[in-house]
Amino acid sequence: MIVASGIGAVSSVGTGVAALRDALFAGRDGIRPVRRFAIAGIDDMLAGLVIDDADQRGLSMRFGVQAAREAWTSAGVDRTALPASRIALVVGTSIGDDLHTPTPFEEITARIATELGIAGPCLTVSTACTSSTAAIGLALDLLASGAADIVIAGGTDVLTPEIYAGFHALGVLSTQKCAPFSEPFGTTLAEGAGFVVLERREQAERRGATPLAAFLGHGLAGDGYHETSPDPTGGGVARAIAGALAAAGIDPAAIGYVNAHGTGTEANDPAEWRALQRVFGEHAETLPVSSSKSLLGHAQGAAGVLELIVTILAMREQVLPQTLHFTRARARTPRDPVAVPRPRPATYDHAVCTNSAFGGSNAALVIGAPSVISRARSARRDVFVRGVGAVTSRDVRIEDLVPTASPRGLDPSARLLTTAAALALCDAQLRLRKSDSDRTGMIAAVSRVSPATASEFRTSIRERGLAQLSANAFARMVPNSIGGACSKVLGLRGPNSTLIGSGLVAIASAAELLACREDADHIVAGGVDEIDAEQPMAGETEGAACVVLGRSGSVRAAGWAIAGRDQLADAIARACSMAGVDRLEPLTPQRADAWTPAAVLVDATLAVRRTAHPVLVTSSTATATCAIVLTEVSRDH
Amino acid sequence: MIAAEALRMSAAVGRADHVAAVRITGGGAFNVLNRLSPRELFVRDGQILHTLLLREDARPLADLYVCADDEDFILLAEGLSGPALAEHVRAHAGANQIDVIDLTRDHAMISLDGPYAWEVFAELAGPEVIGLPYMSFFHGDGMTSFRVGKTGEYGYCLMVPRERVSSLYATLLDRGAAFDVAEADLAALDQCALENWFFNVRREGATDASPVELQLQWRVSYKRTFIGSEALARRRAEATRRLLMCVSSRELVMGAPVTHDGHTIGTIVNAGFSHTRGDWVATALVDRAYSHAGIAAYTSGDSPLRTLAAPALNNRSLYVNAQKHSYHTRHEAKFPPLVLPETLCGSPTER
Amino acid sequence: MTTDISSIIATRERVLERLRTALIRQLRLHQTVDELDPDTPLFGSGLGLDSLDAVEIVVCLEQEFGIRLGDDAPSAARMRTLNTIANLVLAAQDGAK
Repeated sequence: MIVASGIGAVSSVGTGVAALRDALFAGRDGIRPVRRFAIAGIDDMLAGLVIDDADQRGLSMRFGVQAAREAWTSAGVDRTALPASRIALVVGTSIGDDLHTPTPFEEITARIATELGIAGPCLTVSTACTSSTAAIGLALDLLASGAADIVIAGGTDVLTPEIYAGFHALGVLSTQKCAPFSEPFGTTLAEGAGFVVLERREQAERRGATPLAAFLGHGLAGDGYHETSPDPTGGGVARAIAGALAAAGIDPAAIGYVNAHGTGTEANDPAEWRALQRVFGEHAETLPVSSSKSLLGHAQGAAGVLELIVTILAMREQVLPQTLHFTRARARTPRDPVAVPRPRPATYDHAVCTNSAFGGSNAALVIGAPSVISRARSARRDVFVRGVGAVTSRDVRIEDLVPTASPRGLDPSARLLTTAAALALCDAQLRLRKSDSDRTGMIAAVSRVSPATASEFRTSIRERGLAQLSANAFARMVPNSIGGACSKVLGLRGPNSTLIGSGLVAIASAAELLACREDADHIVAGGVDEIDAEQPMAGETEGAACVVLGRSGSVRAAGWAIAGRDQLADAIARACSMAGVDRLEPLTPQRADAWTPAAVLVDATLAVRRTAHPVLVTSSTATATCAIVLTEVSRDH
Repeated sequence: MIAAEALRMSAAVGRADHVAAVRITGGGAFNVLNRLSPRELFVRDGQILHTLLLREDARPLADLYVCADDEDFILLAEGLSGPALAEHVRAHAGANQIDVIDLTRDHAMISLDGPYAWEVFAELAGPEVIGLPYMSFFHGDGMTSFRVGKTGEYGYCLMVPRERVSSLYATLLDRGAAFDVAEADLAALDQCALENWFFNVRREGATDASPVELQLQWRVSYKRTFIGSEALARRRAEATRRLLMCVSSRELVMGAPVTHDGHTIGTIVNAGFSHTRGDWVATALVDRAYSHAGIAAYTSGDSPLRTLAAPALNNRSLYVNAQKHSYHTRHEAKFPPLVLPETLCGSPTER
Repeated sequence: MTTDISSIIATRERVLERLRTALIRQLRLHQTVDELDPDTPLFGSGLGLDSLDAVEIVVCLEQEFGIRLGDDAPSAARMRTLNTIANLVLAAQDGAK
């Protein structure tokens, strides 16, 4: 059983968890007129900014460090009793620090790790507005796999003029403070950061910490529907929540509260309500469902963790967080939106937090009161590499591989990844039928958004001005749009996430998901890199490589491990031990980008098929190392 | 309420026996369809693609929806009967392994169209159907519901087992009473299609015009080989006419010439009186040099014509929002007029 | 053809040509100029454009033709086909004279 033993928050209502708690109980939102920046052609801007007057640069990192430090301090960990290499960090961020001239995403992660003295695996998740929710899910998997004894997970995002202008162009911003499930339509953007310290309950109790909440399960799912609009039937949200409930072993009827994504937009709210009706059935009719976006605004990648912290605070005091600014119920929205000025008393010990994002990503968490007992995790299952695919040319016609797929709107990164994934599915001789689609996931590693898309985006701003930036390019300015486009083309609607960094880490994460989850049969995982045609860097290569992981096959993913940047030996030892093989000579990729390590694993799979000898593949980046052992099936049985 | 009014203001239900349906199964299904469809078959599971079937001479044979149903395809067609559609597909199977099942043998079609059709349908099938996007379909409640339509309004085509069709139809009328649902026959649906610039295989399709002349190039590809592709490439270069939308305060007759300054420049191929507009609406095949919107200088017989940018209506469905509106509160909402002022539709003032 | 209508037709053809070229570039359509029929539906059926494309069209109208979509008429009605957008452009040009 995993619990939260520390929390930290920086949000539009103030810095620190205490400020968040005070605002929640006072019913005081953090939404104000924007003073930090102006955009020609857009008047009367409203947002939930943390700081009104500051230099835009570095804010995301600053918020992240503040929130992570608060969480870490409140957990009261005695550093002498815990080696730094057993502490992990997972940071979720939608845009890193600046959309216009992006800092590498991993810089934020590396900085927080340095500030807190973390030497275990430090991973970066970027799935737009589900980033921190998915980061916490990944943290739970890291703990379950034994990669760490304690994980700090959460997310951080800053609101920049580009983001504001992008949402404005999409026409999804409210003219008033965001009023989820009510009128008028539209959301209010925000910024901030939140972090949670996660560890096993026994460990927390042993060291005298106070568990704040229990983490019972998480779920991920792809819509495979559209770049920015949710599947109107709520399919992806429903799969993410159902997956989280199944992982938790919790009956839907036991859930006493749902903290919804509830952006307030015309498309999100009814799709989400439909998903809740699908998952909860009759129970949905009386289930309290509220949206904390009415309190904090939409803090993008940090939204999920901040809403989780709201839920933890409320559950501890046995109240339901309210939906502010609610005037009149919209059709097809929750029956009980907790539309009161202040939190409403209630008795419950299980809650769901759910988020959805551009790129069709959905993520959900099931939490409980610290004392609840969860079903034991189901037995781990074997994972196999069923198929592999790699591509180095972006000139492949997707239509030739997937004849029903329209190539329109795919940037070079998406084309590369989709091609590699399609080749891997082909190699696996998998034809995804409808029911298979919902149970086939996609975990992608990327280094950044497509440079071609970034260039298109910058050009549109330069030539037309911020207020008229390209909405099409903006929708692709989140790293998970690459995997999202691939999922849409190939119909991969199962667990879905995007990591910044090595493709090998994505594959190891996918293996871990598949080993301990019941809601997926296959996961396509790998990495992609695209050369920036405008500013090519020496030694840079482009390509994509994917594997299809499944529950049968001739090559077994026998062992895998993720460790800290200086802990490659530990990763190798754990992966070999899990695989039951003696230490092997590792195959090490020449470049620490996203696709090369995945391509090495593709080669390794082919080698195992050919020679039947086990192979070890490793990768090292500035924030993490990873090792995967492949064995031939007849050998290990 | 009469059908024409219900279709534009509430909803109307009809027996859509003019729609044929077949299911194609087997590993060769895609290849066969790829040979039959002039449009690239970019269609994902659960979605519908609007395309055509062409004759070898590139004249449209049928107006076709291709529905990707898992590994199968369901075809909905106007212009061919179920058995004829099945036969057409089989005849072009070649060496491909497919099975073609004529669904019309055991199923019948019901159409439901109108700005509040979604609300009527939700009464029957539950609120989840409201989110069903245009050009998609699902199986459920013992029927297959296709979110399609050729009226310019919210539309559904329900494929129902024959033994259930009467009771379902009666239920729709019964539940629909609260929405002033009327019964629409094929003539009423065809008139809506005309007003909204939907290709009608029984009217425009009855001419010798090619998809190029019918402004249906969005449904063809010039980069592939398919039945009719050779003739299409030839006729693309030879296209001398283009379909044009016209209105007149006086009667317009199918087959009548369109003239300008005493010269014949085209022929009316589809015409009917629009109850909603209060005038006559027609499509005409007109010499390309003349085939433009915004002209008031042509005549057909004694009737002066004005040519329009299609469609001829400002459909209520563009503005009815399932999250905001309901038929029962329609009077509280302010909707734009069904017929826009002439300046906005590019109609010239009479000269 | 009378000069009266030939000037109307020439004007509309010019506008349509500019629109087609602009939209092919802006929306990255795979069609060529002569494959875009003037009355092709843009959204839903036809070209099957979506809400992101609609934003691009609005921007394109402003950049290319200096037309700002105000609130004087419903925008859904104005962007149904190339021809309905051409109406908008022509009306704006008339207004400017």
